[in-house]
Amino acid sequence: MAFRLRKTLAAVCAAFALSLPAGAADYPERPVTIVAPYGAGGSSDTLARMLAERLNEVLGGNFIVENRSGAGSRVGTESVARSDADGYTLLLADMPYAIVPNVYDDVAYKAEDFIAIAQVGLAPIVLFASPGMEDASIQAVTEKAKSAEDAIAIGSGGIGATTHMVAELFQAQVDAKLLHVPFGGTGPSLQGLAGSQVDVAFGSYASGRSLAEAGSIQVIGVTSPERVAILPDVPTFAESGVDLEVRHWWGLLAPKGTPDEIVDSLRTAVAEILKEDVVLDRLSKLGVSPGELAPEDFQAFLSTENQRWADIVESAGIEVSQ
Amino acid sequence: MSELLGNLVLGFETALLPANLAYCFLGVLLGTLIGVLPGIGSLAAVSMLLPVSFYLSPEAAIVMLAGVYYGAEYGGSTAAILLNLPGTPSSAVTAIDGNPLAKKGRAGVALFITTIASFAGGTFGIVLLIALAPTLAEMTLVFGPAEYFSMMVLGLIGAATITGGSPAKGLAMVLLGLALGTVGTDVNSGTARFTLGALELYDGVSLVALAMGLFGVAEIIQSIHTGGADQIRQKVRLREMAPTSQDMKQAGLPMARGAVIGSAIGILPGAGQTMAAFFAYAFEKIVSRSKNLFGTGHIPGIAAPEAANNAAVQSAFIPTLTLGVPGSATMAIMLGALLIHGVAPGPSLLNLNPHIFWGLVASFWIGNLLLLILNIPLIGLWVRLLQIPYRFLYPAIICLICVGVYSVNLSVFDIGLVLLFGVIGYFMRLTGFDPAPLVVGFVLGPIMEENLRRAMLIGRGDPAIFVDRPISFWLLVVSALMLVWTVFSFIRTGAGAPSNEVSSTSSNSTGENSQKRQSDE
Repeated sequence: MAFRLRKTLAAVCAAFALSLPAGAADYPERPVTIVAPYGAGGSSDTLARMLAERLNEVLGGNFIVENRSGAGSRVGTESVARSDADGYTLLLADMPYAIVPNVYDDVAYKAEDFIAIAQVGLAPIVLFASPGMEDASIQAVTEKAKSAEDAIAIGSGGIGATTHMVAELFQAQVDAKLLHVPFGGTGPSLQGLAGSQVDVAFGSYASGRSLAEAGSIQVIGVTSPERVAILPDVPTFAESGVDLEVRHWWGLLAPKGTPDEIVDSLRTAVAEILKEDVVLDRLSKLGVSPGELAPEDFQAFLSTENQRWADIVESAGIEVSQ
Repeated sequence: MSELLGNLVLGFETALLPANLAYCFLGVLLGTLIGVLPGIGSLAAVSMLLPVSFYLSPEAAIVMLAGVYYGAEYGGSTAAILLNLPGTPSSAVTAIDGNPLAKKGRAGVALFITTIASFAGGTFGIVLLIALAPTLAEMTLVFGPAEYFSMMVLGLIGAATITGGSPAKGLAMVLLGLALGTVGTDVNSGTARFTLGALELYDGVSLVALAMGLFGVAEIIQSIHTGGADQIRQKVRLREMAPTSQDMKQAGLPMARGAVIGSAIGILPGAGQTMAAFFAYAFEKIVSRSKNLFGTGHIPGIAAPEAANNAAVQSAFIPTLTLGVPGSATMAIMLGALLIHGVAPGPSLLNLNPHIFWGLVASFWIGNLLLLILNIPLIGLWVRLLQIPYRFLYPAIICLICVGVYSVNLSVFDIGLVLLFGVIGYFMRLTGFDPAPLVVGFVLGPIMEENLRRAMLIGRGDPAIFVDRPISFWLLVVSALMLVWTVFSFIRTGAGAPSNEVSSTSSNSTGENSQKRQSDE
């Protein structure tokens, strides 16, 4: 009897010991949730699932993906911002992460509220033109846009969407005013472009690839610093004399206050994963290249991104009343 | 022609591979079950299955996910007919005439007809997909904001005919639906409207929560009110399940018209099965010579919408596969499933991966056949559900509805919403307001507003855009004619036989007494 009691006590003590704050050596000791703030099937969801699958092997834990979509990326991002900073809830953020807090004034997080673990991927943004536009090029669009206000109609995925912000950036760079036509997503905006309802629209190459291959829309420029391998004939904006350099990015972030040891072990693990051939192959199928920035540089990049969009939102006078 | 045959042979070779056939069966079986269960829809099911599909071949993955998608439309009518609880939002339309049929003791017949109509509609959609996919896909691009707007005008006028009760009450419900549709982020300004500070409302009120609340939860509350006294208790023998030749004759043409309307609406991105079912029902009622029978258990009232929603679910694959333009959230997930495997939809799908495209198309038809074979014997089983006393059945259904509504956005908020709409729906029933026109207004309104404003923006503020574009012009002309005709026929029948107008709210208590066929013209 006494023996059994001692055994029970020992078990209780062991249980308490396990529940003490653990160092990185024990991480992860329970399931880790990676929140993808969009629905299933999109790029963020796919990247999150790929990371979770590889982290399960590299760190030997149980990483699961939770799709928390709603209000753009806000519902998911705000839920992670509010969660415990214990390394068991992570966020797969993308470009709107730095845009949204500048467009809406009631957002429950600031760009500084997260720690950068890794820049996971980058993808160029492409300027598409309607099928009927003759001699479509960056110069032609720029010239026509400057000739008169609203001479060119540009479609976007909605107010405050990445495609809208890039369009504003473009207008600021070439000092012209385009007619902005918001759609309910990049997909519908490119569909509208194929129907010649608008003249041009920005979007990821992945979102317009099928229409472009069908000849239903034209690809006239990329916003990356250099030409991209899949579109060797498409000029960059820099080549055409327009200073427009934007790339869509995806990154793994943790809420501020997450223990350093856990952040470090995640940083090392993800950096390794992004060098694996299987992963590179899967990224390229999605038209995404692996992230280039080291974690510290990525952290700094988040701040500069935030500032860049804050400036654009202010100069373009984008106002969203609540 | 020989090329098409070659493609079809290739397709069936792919689809009949044992693994693909097995995943097709699994998909449609799961789809039917999901469709039968009120609340749980194909969107949630496809999202949950997506991670599994990473481990399958791209053909098997898409064949299975697609099976769930169209399988759910088959199953949706079951609970709608038997219990007046639509399994999917689109089958709320089937409930209008399906449930009165069950109350007349013809549940088996109704289920049989909807299964046949589903198969006919699905098959028609697939034939279109095979024969005209690339051409039709190009045509959808011509459909711009002006055309969408004019089509929604036509739809709203049609909606006025759906209601069986007082036209004033019907109109009030359409307006309430339009008002509810304005909740959420306004596409044109980014402004959050009527969200009461809740982030959960930024994407608008959930259609599933609205439909399940107004139809499903409200029905259950009402049965508490009546104490289950109105429970249909019937045993169906196989012999009684078979429709009479009279039934089949009545169902034939509506089925064909439903299939055509459904396919046409399904092709348009953003329209969806619910709209297809409503349009088909409204059209039947307009062309019918016995309008007053609708809502009382009229066979065309179930045949047309069921053919339409199943045709729409198939033709929705046309823009997705040929242009990479997904028409709905579920379609977007399926597109994602292909992209994950490095298969890009679009013209290159036909050239680079013909076995995937044609395999999928062949699997659709095999899947529809499987659904037909699966569903006919299941009718007996479903009808036996009615033997379960409501006091056991309904708590289980309430749980299912809550789980289903939650699973769409993983949002607890939506559970509160569905219960709230249930209470509202119950009071609407007590006061004789029909929820069907409300749902129509809710579905059509946001599309109409968004496109009206986009058309005006693109037209630089000139409303002439609506009449300058030919398709839009003719849609408006038809709308005007329909309006005139509706008013005219209302005056004629309304003056002659005022009792007809109150015979059919969706609570369906007056089903039996107006069964006699009246020739009104």
